Amino acid sequence: MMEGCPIKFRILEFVEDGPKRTDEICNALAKEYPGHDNDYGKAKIKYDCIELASAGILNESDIVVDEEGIFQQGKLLITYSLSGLGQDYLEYLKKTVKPQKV
Amino acid sequence: MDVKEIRAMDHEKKKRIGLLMGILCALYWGVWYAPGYAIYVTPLIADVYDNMIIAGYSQDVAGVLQAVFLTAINAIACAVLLFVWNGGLGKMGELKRTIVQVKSVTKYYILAGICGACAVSGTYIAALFLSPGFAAIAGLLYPIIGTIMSVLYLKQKVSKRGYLAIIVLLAGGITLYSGSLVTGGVDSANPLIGCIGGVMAAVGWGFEGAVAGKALDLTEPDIGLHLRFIFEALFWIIVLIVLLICGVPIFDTIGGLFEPTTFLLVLLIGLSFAWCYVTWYKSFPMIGVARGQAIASLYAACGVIFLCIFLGPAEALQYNDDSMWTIVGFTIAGLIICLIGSFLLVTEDAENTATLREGS
Repeated sequence: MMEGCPIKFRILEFVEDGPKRTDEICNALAKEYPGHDNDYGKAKIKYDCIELASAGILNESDIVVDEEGIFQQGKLLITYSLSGLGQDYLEYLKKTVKPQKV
Repeated sequence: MDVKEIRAMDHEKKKRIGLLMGILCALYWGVWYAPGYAIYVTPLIADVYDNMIIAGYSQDVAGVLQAVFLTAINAIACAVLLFVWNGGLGKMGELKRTIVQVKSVTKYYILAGICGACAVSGTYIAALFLSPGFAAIAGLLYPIIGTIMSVLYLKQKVSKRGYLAIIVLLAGGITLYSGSLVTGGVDSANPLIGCIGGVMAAVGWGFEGAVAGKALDLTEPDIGLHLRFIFEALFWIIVLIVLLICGVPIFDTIGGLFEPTTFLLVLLIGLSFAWCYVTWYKSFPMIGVARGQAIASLYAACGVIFLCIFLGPAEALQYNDDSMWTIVGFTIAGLIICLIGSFLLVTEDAENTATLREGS
């Protein structure tokens, strides 16, 4: 439903069916959004996740250091899930979003 | 290094980015005062007032229309320059994706644009009808409204230290400009219009922060502020066209825009104000609306410093031989209080800003 919508909308929908790790979110969404399937694009999506967590919309859990270089070596891999506020926002978006053709 | 330590470092980094953005906002806002004052002597702006007087409008109406015209030029310059900024960042696609979501987020930016229009025109009106010092003090009250709104409406948490830092920063900013009010008072033919302008500045910016903060939960800051400027520019274009249809000679000086010095000043106004807003909006998701607005209120200190650099202390602080020590004393005291407030905010525990709302 949120494909082709602003990236933060899509992140909320992407983690709706269960917690997802930084690399899963960034790699999957980078492929969906034109011009994002590169380090810069993925970093932008990661920054969106950080902002959503900062706002209390995503909860953080299962934090591990990326020692093998799965995503960004030496940085944290965080598992994100929807918080109560995030679920409220997602419900709000489902009612108000204008679906886009992809 | 274990996960806990890296996590603490991440939280510290996030807080530092938020504070750095707030400080950069204050710097750009402060430097904006230099071209913001200089543009008043260009034919583009100065002749608007004269044309209104010639057309038979009163001095009060001519002053308000001049402020409206300048605010419109400011907003249009910012909106245009931000296309370059977002184009450079590769975010034009996200702008397109966001602008069509009127019902979910864009409506908040329409509201933020109108609040911003009210605030910027209000500050020009207050500066014109009372004094630049009064305008600055009135503008400085916006974090009070912003803090109340962020706690009540956005449900963001603010620690006791955060509240204390906000109060100290505001006290510092107000002290900075109090010298000119204590020594000279306010000499104005119509102080009521100036006071209304002051209220517009404080209420407009306070509400803008809260409304934008709501939409920033779901959109990128660079896109959010660009939308806000696009809607503010559209708002002013509609206002100016309505004035033109009503027979007000508001566009008579527009040819002066392409005079090289004026064009450079408009460019500088646009760049400094647009980047000021870029950093302002970027600080909100990192440290919250209340802290972001408080640290950005250092613009009062930066404004004084930049005006002293570009205009010289006597012109910037508007003192004479009798009032020099009082005004300089208040200014130095205000700068010191601002530094104490910034220190309180910068040394706040990073865990307080790890998440801006209570976990659920």
